Amino acid sequence: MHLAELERWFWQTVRTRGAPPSGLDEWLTGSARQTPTERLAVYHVAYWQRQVAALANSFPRLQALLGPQRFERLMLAYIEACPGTEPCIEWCGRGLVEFLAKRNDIAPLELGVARLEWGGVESLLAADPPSVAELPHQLGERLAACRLVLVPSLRTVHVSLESLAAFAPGAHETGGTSADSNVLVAFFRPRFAVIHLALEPDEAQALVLASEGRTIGAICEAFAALSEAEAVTRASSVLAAWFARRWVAKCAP
Amino acid sequence: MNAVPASKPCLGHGFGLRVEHYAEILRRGVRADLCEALTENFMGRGGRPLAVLERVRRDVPITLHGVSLSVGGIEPLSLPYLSELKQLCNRFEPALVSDHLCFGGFGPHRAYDLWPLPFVEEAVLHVAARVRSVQDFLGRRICLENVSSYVEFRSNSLSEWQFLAAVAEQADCWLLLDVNNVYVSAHNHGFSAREYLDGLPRERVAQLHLAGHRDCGSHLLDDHGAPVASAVWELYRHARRRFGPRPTLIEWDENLPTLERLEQECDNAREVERHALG
Repeated sequence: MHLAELERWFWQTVRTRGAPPSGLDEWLTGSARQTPTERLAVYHVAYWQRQVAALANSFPRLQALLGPQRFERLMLAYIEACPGTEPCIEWCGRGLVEFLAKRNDIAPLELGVARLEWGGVESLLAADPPSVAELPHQLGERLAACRLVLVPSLRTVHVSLESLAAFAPGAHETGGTSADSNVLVAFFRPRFAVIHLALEPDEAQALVLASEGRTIGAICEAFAALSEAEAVTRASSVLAAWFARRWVAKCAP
Repeated sequence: MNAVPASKPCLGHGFGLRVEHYAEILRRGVRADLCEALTENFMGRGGRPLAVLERVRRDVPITLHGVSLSVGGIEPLSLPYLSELKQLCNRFEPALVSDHLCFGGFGPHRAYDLWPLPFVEEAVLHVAARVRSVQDFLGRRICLENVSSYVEFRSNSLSEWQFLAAVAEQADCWLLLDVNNVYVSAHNHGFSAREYLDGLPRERVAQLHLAGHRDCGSHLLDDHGAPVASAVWELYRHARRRFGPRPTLIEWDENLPTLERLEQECDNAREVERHALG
């Protein structure tokens, strides 16, 4: 017996879907109360159920939407297809959205809710920034040449308004906009709790530019559709809001 | 290896930090001699967990207890994991750092469980070499915890306590003796829990764990979901007489009680120690 061979066998046996296979006597002994299969079943059950529980914790709205049985079936399929690689089990859902996106039995609404829930999880688990910047009033005209470093907990998710409504019922007004319209939702963690915010299209575009490392001057192009005076007011308001929400870790040329 | 600290700390009694208690801990602190932080819950994170750990650390020593080192695994040790662990050690200066004597998956993939190792010489040598590497990287000795187990490998040539002792000696590491795990495994495999304790090298045991378990009929399950059972308290008394004063932590993860109840369980452990040591 070599250790590598035993560990490979154990991994493959525990990951066998359904009940553990028979013929474990070659590797394991029984006890007075349990057969080798019954003994291994303790690990078999723990492997699958612990991760399903962790995924339910990360995706409670998706679970409610799908129903517990369909949710469990999908999560078992996900765990089988995408065994976790992160040390912390809270991250085991990292590949779920991509997994669901490839399936033809998931509705766009359900996928959108999953995207939003994972955005919230990523925000919650993100590291603290080394610093949080305040609006640099003293820079004056030099502000346009500055770039923003955004805090790690700021995550954005692009979804339909319908998905957003399913994720947070009653929290968002569509204002006459078609439910098929898409919206950029920002997740952030000013202190401990995660907040989500649906962004107006111009702010969403500005945030995308900021995330790409563009200068503030370039970011302000997001407001070019407005008159010059309105654009200045709108850009100032949006940037001030970013700093107030503690989205900016650093603002420097 | 330049181990820091070189001597085993004698810290008293405490419990594991749990998310459900974070808000209260931030509000009023903890009533314990020390607290245990599950390493993975604080790696690469910010927000409330780190704030809680900062708050607790201001008041009491902490220990870092991991579940993902997979010291018995055959895949290479994870440098990113060890680097994060080292960063946590540098920031919070834990009194003790521990993980489990087990393997935790295969290749790059995680089982999110503590899988038992065969008690054979090959595993002793393999684990000892990896533990020495970990200790060299961290610049300190670590503790290895005995896991509760539910299977026995046909290939076992050593008893579990012989295996633990051999690993500790060859790796020059410490042992975190989980008394509840000894009790659970002794019941499941039919060996004497006292013989287990008596078979461990006294000087290698640096820390103790206590927890509750569940009787599933055919086996006991170490689910950390109940108060410490009376039979485990009895075994703890024996451990105290054998190993002397050692920091002891209460693990309670499921059916979580109030913070006050957890602190009371620490008081119970303290009382048992007082009676055992006279």
